[in-house]
This record gives sequence, C-alpha cells and structure tokens, in this order.
Amino acid sequence: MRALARPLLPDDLVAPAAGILVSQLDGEAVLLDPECGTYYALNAVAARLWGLLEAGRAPLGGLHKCLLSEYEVEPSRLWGDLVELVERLAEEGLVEVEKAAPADAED
Amino acid sequence: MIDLTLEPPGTGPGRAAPTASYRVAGVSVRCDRPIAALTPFERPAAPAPPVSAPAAPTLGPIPEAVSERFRAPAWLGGRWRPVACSAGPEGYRLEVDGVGRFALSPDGRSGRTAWLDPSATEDELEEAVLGPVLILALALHGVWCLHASAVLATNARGAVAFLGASGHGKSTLALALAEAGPSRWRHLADDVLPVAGSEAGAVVRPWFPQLKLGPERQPAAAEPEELPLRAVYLLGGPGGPQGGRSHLSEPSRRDATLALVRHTVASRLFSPALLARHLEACGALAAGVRVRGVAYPWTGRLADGLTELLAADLEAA
Repeated sequence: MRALARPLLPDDLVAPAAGILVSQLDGEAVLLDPECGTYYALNAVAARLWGLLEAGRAPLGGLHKCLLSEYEVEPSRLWGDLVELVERLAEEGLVEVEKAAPADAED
Repeated sequence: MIDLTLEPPGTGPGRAAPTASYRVAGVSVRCDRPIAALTPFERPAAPAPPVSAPAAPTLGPIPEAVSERFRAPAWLGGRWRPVACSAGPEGYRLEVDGVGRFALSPDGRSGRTAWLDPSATEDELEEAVLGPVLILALALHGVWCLHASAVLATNARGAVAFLGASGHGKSTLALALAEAGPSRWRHLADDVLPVAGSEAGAVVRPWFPQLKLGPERQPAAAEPEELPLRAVYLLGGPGGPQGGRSHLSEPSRRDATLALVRHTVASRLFSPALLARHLEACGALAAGVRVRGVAYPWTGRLADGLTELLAADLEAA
C-alpha cells in the first residue's frame, strides 16, 4: 500500500502503473497485478475511469470533467468519489500519481 | 505432451526410458514409472517427439528471491505443509516440505523430481506430482483446472460444472444428481475439472484423477475425453435459503470471471505471464458459457425441485 502525502488536486497527473493488466467485461472490468497475483473488480464507473487512463497520463481535473459529461451527478459528489477511487487505486499500486507543483495547485 | 520423471536423479531409469503413458485432461503424459492414480487413463504410448524442454539444473532450496510466487502452507498429502514456488526463465521450481523439490520446464513439457525427501511416501510423491506439478504443466498447455465437480447432462449433450468453496456441496450435488437421474445426469468430476478453450467454444476434459475417489472409482474414465461445457453454476453454500426454494441468479460477466479465477486450482503459483493468459481465458469462458449462481436449501441431500430448475435452465441455454 502506498499512501499519498496530501489530498489530490485537479492538476495532479494520474496514469496506470506499469504492468497492470485489465480485462474489460461488459462495461465492468477486472484488474490484475501480475507481480503479486492480486485481482481487483471495477464497477462500471471505475472501469470507465480506467479506460480514460489507458489513453495516457491525465490530470485529475480533466478526468473529472470527462466523467461529468458522461454521468448525471453533482460535480462535488463526483469529485469526492473520483478522489477516493484514485487514492484507493494508488494505495494498491495500480495507478501512479504525479503531484502538481504547489504553485500550479493553487490556480 | 508432458514428460514426468518421478525418480530423483541417480535412482531410476530416468527420462530416457518412459514406462507408462496416459491421457490426462486431453494431453499425453509420459512417466518414468506407472502412477496408480492414473491407471484409468492409461493409453498406448504415442511416438516420442523431440524433447524441446531444457533440462532443469540441480535444485537447492528456493531462496527468498524476487522470482518467488508463493510460500505458504498448502494441503497436500493429508496435512498442511509449507510449499514454496518460484517462476523464472528457467521454469518453475516447487518445494514441498517433507516430500521434495520439483522442476518444471518453462513450456510445461517436462517435469521432474529434483530431490526426494527420504521420509516421503509414495502417495505423497504422487500427490505432489499429480497436484501442483501436473496442474501447472496443464496450465502452460492452456488447460485450466477448476476446483469444481461436474456432471454430464445427457439432454444438453455437454458438461455442467459446479463451483463453490469447500463445504458448499459441490461433490454432494454432483453425486446426488447422478444418483437421482442416471439417464439425465452422469458423474464426471468430484473435485478437479480441467477446462480449455477450443474453436467450438469451451470444453471440459474430465480425464483427470479425482484423488479422493481412488483409481477404481474415476467417474470420467468411461466418458469422452472432451465434452462441451454447457453451464457453470456457482454454489451459494450452506448460507442459502433455508426452508426456501432453490433459485438461480445471473452474475455480471465481471463477477463470473472472478469466480472462475478464484476457483482455479494452483493459480497462486502462476507466473505473471501465465496469470495474464489465465485472466484472458477466464474472461473468454465467462463470455462464452452460461454462468449462474444457484442457491438451494442445504439439507445434505438433493433439494426438492433443484433437478428440474437446473434442467429448465439448461433447456433455456
């Protein structure tokens, strides 16, 4: 498990960790960390997030904006859920988060 | 083809002189000596192809290395005992406490006893070889062993598998179906069911020793070597609807895939590359085969109406 030092910010960059395998299954997904043989089940929204991450490293704010355009949900609630999910994925070593510089974070 | 050498180096005829030939889970298996548990599946020896597998080196104890896949107690030979497994370019190395060390080539075509513990019994040796060694070798051949019981559904002209944790009634249900309606259900597997993909879809290859039953009671020995897999039922276990009616549920493809993953024997030993193939295979299986959850009143016998429920579900499939 890897804990993040501070709360995530919109400019923080998120990318799938190297070597993580995914199987997309009717809108949901299963992730596999082949090094430790651990599987993770992703629901539809989490699977969609993973699909966005597979396109390349992306800022959390951009991911939020994209998901907001696809789901009917309050922006603040989606942000909270998104941060929680990414933090959980980062703790499990499934994504890598590159924190934005402090000056950028305050924009 | 899988070549198994049970005799440790320097004590037997060695790999050059296989003395018994079997068909196991759709794969030809040659051994340097007869294995009693495989007797029902003995077949005339096939012509020997060139051995492509590299000879494994002499093995010492598995170090705490980055290539280690597994080190934990495992149930083998009638008791829990430490088992360690490593995977690397040289293949797999298995160490079973009180039994010995085993090597498997990277392509799964050659497995051998590298060192035999002097205290190991014949049964323990055969169980180790027919367990993790052979199951890993089959996985490398694209044959995945599910922890499942199974019956042949004659009306559906194919196999039906029952998956569930130990104590959830897999064996009881398969036996009860076969006894209640032998013209409709025939027992195929008690505990381990090899499955594979084929051009026509998923198939079971039930010629595999069900060690709890003994060589003389292998249910699949008189059945075809390969059968279509018509359905997989995930047993809910004793927490089912006590006093209620049996019912089926439809898991998502994701949950069906994870159930297949979880109920694959020895998957904790798989290398990263083999795990990737395994996930892909389970996803394809979940997509191509009818998978249902089944909850039924747990009374220690076949629940009323369950046979009809399963038959109707297969009919619908």
